[in-house]
Amino acid sequence: MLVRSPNAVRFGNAYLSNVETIIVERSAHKTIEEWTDTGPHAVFVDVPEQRVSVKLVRRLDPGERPNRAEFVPGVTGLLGFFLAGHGTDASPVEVNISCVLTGVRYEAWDEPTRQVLTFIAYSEMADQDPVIVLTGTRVASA
Amino acid sequence: MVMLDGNAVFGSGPCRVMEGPRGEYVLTKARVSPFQAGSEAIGPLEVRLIVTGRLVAGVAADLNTLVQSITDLLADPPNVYTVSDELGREWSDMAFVLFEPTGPVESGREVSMAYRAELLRFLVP
Repeated sequence: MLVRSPNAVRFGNAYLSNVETIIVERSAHKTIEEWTDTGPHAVFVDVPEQRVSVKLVRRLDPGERPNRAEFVPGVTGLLGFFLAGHGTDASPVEVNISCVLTGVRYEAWDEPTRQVLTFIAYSEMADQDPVIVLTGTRVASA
Repeated sequence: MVMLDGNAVFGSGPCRVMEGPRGEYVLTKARVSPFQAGSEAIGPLEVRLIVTGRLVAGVAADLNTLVQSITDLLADPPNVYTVSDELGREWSDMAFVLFEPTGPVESGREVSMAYRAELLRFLVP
């Protein structure tokens, strides 16, 4: 999932302004590949463990102090945002991701300075996708 | 696919068959009393098959059923089967002596579990 200019972004109780991009990536953390005696090609492949990573890039205001105490690796919270179009007549699309902050870094060689937050998403129930997309009254996964 | 008396007992997922070593059982005399130098061939090695694979099911309950259907074949004294595989190999009088999960249950697109099974042709039935 790639979201540009999301609206009303928050992580836990913190409101995040000037968020330019949120990227949700999925990758295999563990793969299973099996072969038989009868040929060179795998006959079974599965991904029993996957990692959902989130990267958030926001633009810092010139006077903004970015060193927020709540943004330390290991902090957990709900990352919530609305897809662009929130506030229009279209049905709002809200995304909620339970995740843990894994990194806070800065890109300061160009103006404006950007803050990059990285997260790993998790789910209380292993068989439930941690990325929840709410479209009006319907819940979907992304 | 590995068959036991024509039944694909392990057939829900991939599996492979490996034969154990063939030849003579050689006993090192230094390992027995009285200690001596040298070694002695005391008889043929028993034919051993090692089956490795992965049981695959759509849900955990079906995987449990597959495991149960295999462990139900284990008995004391062991049940004896004719084992055959897709390479055209066949082994008769093979006693089913071991079934061992070699990993946890993996829940991805399918529910699966890796295993290892052993069959042995006893010298003395």
